[in-house]
Amino acid sequence: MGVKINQIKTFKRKKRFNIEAGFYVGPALIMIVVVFIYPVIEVFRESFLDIRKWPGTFIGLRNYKIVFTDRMFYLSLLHNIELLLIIPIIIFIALIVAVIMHEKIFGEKFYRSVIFIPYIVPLVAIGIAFSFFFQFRGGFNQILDLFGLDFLISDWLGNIRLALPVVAAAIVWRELGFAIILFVARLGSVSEDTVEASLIDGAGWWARFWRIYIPELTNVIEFYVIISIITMLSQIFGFIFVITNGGPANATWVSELYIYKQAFQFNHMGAAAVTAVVLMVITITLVFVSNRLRRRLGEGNE
Amino acid sequence: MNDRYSRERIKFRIVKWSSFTLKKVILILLAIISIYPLFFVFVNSVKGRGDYAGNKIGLPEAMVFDGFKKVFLDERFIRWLGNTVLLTLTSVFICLFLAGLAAFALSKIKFAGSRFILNSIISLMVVPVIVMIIPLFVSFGKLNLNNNYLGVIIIYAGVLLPFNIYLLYSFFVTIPESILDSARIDGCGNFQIFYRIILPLARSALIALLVIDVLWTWNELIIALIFLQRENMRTLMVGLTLFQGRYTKDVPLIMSGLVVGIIPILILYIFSQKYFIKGLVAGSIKG
Amino acid sequence: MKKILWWSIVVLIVAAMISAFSLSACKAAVEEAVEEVAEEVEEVAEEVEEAVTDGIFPDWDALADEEITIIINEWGDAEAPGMNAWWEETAQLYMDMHPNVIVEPLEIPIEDIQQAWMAAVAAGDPPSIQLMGRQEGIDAATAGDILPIEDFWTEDEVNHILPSARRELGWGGKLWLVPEYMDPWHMIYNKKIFTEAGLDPEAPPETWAEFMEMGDAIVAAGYIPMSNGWLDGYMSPWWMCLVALQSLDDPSDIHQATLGEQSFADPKHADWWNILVEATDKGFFNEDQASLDFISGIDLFSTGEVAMVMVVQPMVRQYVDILGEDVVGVMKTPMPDIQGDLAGTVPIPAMPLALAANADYPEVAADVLRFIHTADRVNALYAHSTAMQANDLFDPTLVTDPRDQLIAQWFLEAPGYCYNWHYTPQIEAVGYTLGGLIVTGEITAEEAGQMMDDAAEKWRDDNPEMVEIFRDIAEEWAMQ
Repeated sequence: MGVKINQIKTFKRKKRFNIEAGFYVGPALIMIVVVFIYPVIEVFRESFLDIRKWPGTFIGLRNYKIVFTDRMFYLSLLHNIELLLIIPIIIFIALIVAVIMHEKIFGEKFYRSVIFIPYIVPLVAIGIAFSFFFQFRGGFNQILDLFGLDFLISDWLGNIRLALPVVAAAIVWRELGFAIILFVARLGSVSEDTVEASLIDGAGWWARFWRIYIPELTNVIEFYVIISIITMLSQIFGFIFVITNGGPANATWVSELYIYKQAFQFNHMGAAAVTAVVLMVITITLVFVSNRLRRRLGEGNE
Repeated sequence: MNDRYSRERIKFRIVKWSSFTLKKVILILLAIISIYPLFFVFVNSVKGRGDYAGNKIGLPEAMVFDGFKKVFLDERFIRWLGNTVLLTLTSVFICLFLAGLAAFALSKIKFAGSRFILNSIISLMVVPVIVMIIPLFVSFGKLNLNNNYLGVIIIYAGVLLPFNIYLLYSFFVTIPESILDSARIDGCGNFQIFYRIILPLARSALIALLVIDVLWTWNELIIALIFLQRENMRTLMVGLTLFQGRYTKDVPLIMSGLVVGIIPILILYIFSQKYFIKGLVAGSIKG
Repeated sequence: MKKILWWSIVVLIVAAMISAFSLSACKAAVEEAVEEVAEEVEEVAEEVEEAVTDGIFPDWDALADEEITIIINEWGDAEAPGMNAWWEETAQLYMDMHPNVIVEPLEIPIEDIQQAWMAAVAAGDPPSIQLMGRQEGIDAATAGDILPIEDFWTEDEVNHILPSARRELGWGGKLWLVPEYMDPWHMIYNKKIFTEAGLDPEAPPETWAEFMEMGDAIVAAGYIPMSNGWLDGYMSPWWMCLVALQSLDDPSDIHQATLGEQSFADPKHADWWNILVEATDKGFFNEDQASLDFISGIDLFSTGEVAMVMVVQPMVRQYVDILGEDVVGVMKTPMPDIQGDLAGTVPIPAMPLALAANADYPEVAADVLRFIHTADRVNALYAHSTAMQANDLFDPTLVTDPRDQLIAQWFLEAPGYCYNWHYTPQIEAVGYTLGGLIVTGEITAEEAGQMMDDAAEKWRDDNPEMVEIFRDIAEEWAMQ
C-alpha cells in the first residue's frame, strides 16, 4: 500500500514551491516589476495628482476634466483611429504579395531580403529622409513631374489634409515588409497536394487565394491584427515626431505625441498620466475585442 | 477534339504567361518602392548642396564627401554614436541573460506559480511604452537616474524582457524532457543543465533574439529622448533629430548623418538575415 | 491568446485596486510633507528678506573649499552667431577669477530649451541659470522655481539695465530676469532686387499697403517679394510680435484679451492676419511656405531670390557676408492698416536669463550674471556677435556698422514690446498653428482670433489660480 502511494506521487511530479527557481526568475521579475508593474500602478495614481511639486497634491478628477475637455485630446485619438483604418489595407496587400511570392519560385530569396528592408531600417533615419522627400520642392514632387504627373504636385507635408495620409503611407511602407514575410513564412506550411489538386480542378489564382491560402492564414492574420493595433496606438511616436512633429497645425497629433507634449512641453504630468491611462485601456480593450471577434467568426465558419 | 484541346492549352498558356508577368511586375515594383528611400538617403549623402538643389532624386553628378567629413569631425556625433553602441550592447546582453534564466526556469523547472508568472509576463507586452515612461521619469528624477546610462539600461532591458522571455520559453519548451532527464540522472544540477545543454541548443534562437533586440534598442527614440537629455549623453537617433533642426539648410550633411545611423544595422542585417526573419516571425507564429 | 487577454485584464484590475488603496494611505503622508515644506519655505523667505538691501555677494572665503558648478541653459548661436564664442570666453574669465567654480554654458536648441528646464525641475536637478520668456518666468516664479535677481544685485547694478528691459523682465515690483542679449526684431531687404524692380533701394515699404503695391513690380522682375516658413509654427508668433503689436496701444491690450476682457477676434487684434491672406493670394510669398520650417523659410533670403524677410538683428551679419555689404538693408516692419500707439515701434526684447531657486549656490549664479553685465563683457558681446546688451554700460561708439547704428537709433526712439510675452504658453501653442492655416486658406482672420479666444478661455478654466496672478501682474503693468 505504502509503495503504491509513493509511486503515484512521483508519477504526478507535483509542483512545489521552489526556492532555486526563485533565483532564476527573480532578477527578471524584479526588472519587470520596476519597469512595468510599478509604472502602471503609478500612472493610475498620478492621474489623480498635481505633481508639479513633489510629492504632489490630490486633486481628484481635475486632470480628467482638463483632458476630457481638451479638443486636442480627441483630435489625437481621432488620428490614431484613422491610422487603425489602414491595417486592413496593409493586410490585404501583404496577403496578395505573400501568395505571389509563395507560388513564384524564381528569385524568392532576393525579394524576401529586399522587401524586409523597410522594417529594419532605423525609423528615425528614414523618417527624416521622408520629411525632406515630401517637401514641396522635394524628391517626391520631382518624381511626379518626371512622370508627367505634375497636376498631382502638392504641398504634402504643409497641407493639413495631406499630412496624415503621407505619414500613413510611410507607415504602410514600413509595416508591409513585416506582414509579407510573416505570411510567407506561414504559407510554407500549406500542403503542396491541396494546391496541386486545385490546379488540376482548374482553380484560378483568385479562387486559390480565397479558398486555400486565406483559411490557412487566419491565425497569423489575427495575430497580425493585434500586433498592428498595438503599433498604431503606441508605437508610431518615432514616425510622427520626425516627419511632422504633430504639424502642420496639429493635423498629425497622435495620443503618444499628446502625452509627450503634455508632460514635457506644458508640464502637465497629470494630464499626461490621464491620457496614458486612457491609451492603455483603449489598447487592451481593442485587443480583447478583436480577439473575441475572431473567436466568434472562427466558430461561425466551422 | 484535338483542336479544342490545343486551343485551350494555348489559352491557358497565354493566361498563365500574362499573370506571370503581372506578378513579376508587382514584385519588382514593390522591391523598388522598398529600396528607394534607402537609395535616396545614400545617394544624397554624397551630393554637393547645389547638386542636391537641382536634382533630389537621382544619382549625383560628382561624389562629394563633405557631409561625411563634417559628420565624423563633429565630436558630438561621435559621442552620440558611442552612447548608442554602449547602451545597445549593455541592455541587450543583460536582457538576454535575465530572460534566458527566467525562460529556463519557467519551462523546465516545475514550480508553483510558474504558469501564473508566465501568463502575466506575456500579457504585459500589450502595455504601451509611453505609459511606463511618465511615472518612471518622475521617480528616476528622485533617484537621480535621469541623465544616467544606468537608468536607460534598466528601462531597455526591462521593456524587452517580456518578449525575450516569451520567445525563449517557446523555444525551450520544444527541447525534449528526455535530454534533461538523462542529464539529471547523471547528477547535473539545474544550472549545469542550463549552461551545458539548453544554451548550446538554443544558439540559433539566442542569436535571432540578439539581433532583434539590437535592432530595437538601436532604433529606439522616445525613451532616449526623455531620459538622456544632456547633450553629451544623447543617443544617435536623438542626435539625428536635432541635427535635422539645426542644419535644415544642408540636406546632404543630414543625409550623411543618417547613413551613419543606418549602416551598422544594414550590415547586421546582411550578415544575419535568416536570424532576423526567423526570430521576428517565429514568435508570432507560436501565438 | 485568449488567456493572455484575460490575464491583462486581471493585471489591470489588480493595479487599479492597489492604486486606490495606496492613494488613501498616501494622502495623510502627503499632507504632512506639504506642511513641512511650507514651513521651510517661510523660513528661507524671511532670511532672504533680511539680506536684500545691499546685494548678496558670494562669501568666497567660506566657499573656498567647495566645488561649485554653474550650469547655464541657453540657445547659443541659434539666433546670434558668435554667442557661443562669447559664452566660452566669459566662462573662462570667470573661472580664472574663481578657480573653484566651473561655469558651463550648455547650448540647447530653441525648441527643446523650455522642455529641458521642465524636465530638470521635475527631476529636482535644475540648471543654475535658464533662458526663458517672461510668461514662463512668471509661471516659474509662482511655482517657486526661480528667484528674483533684484534680491541679489545692488540697486545700482539693477539700474544699469535699460528701462524697457527692466519693465518687461520684472513684475511684483522687482526685477526678476537678467538680459542675455537684446533682440531687435525687424526686417531686412535686398537692395539689388529693389533696384532691378524699379523701386528706390533706400525706400523700403513703410506700410503693408505699400508692400502690396511694390509686390507686383518685384514679381515682374522675377523675384519673390517675401519668404516665410510656417511648418514648425514659430513664424506665427514672429508675425504677431512684428505686425500684430503695431495695431495695439499697449501690451495691456493683450493682457485684457487673455483675461477675456477684450477679444482676440476684434479687428485691432485680428485684422492684420488679412495681410497674409492678401499676399498669398497675390503670390507675393514663396510657394512652399506651408511646408518649410521657419528657419528655412527665412533662409531663402540667402539665395538672393527673395526681396524681404523678417529677422532678429544678430542674424543680419551672416546675410551681409553672403550677399554683400551694399545689398542688405535693414527696415522697420511695415505697419498694418489698423495702427495703434505702438505702430512704428521696433520690438527689442532682451532675452531673459532666470536664476533657479533649487540649484546649488544661487548667490554664485547671481554673481555670474552680475559678471555678464560688467562693461567689459557687455562690449565683448557686441564684438563677438553684433548683439547688443540691454545695459547702459554699452559703449555705442563700438557700433560702426551703419545698419546697427540705425537699429540703435530705433531703440533709443521708442522700443516696442514682445507680443508673445504677454499671453500664456497655452495660447501660444494655438498661435503656432494659425499662420499655416491662414495661408493655406483653412481659416479666416476672424476665425484665427476666435481660436485664440478659445485657447484663452480654456486656460482660464483650467488654471484659476494662475488667472488671479496674471490679473495682478497685468494691473501692475498698466499702472507703470
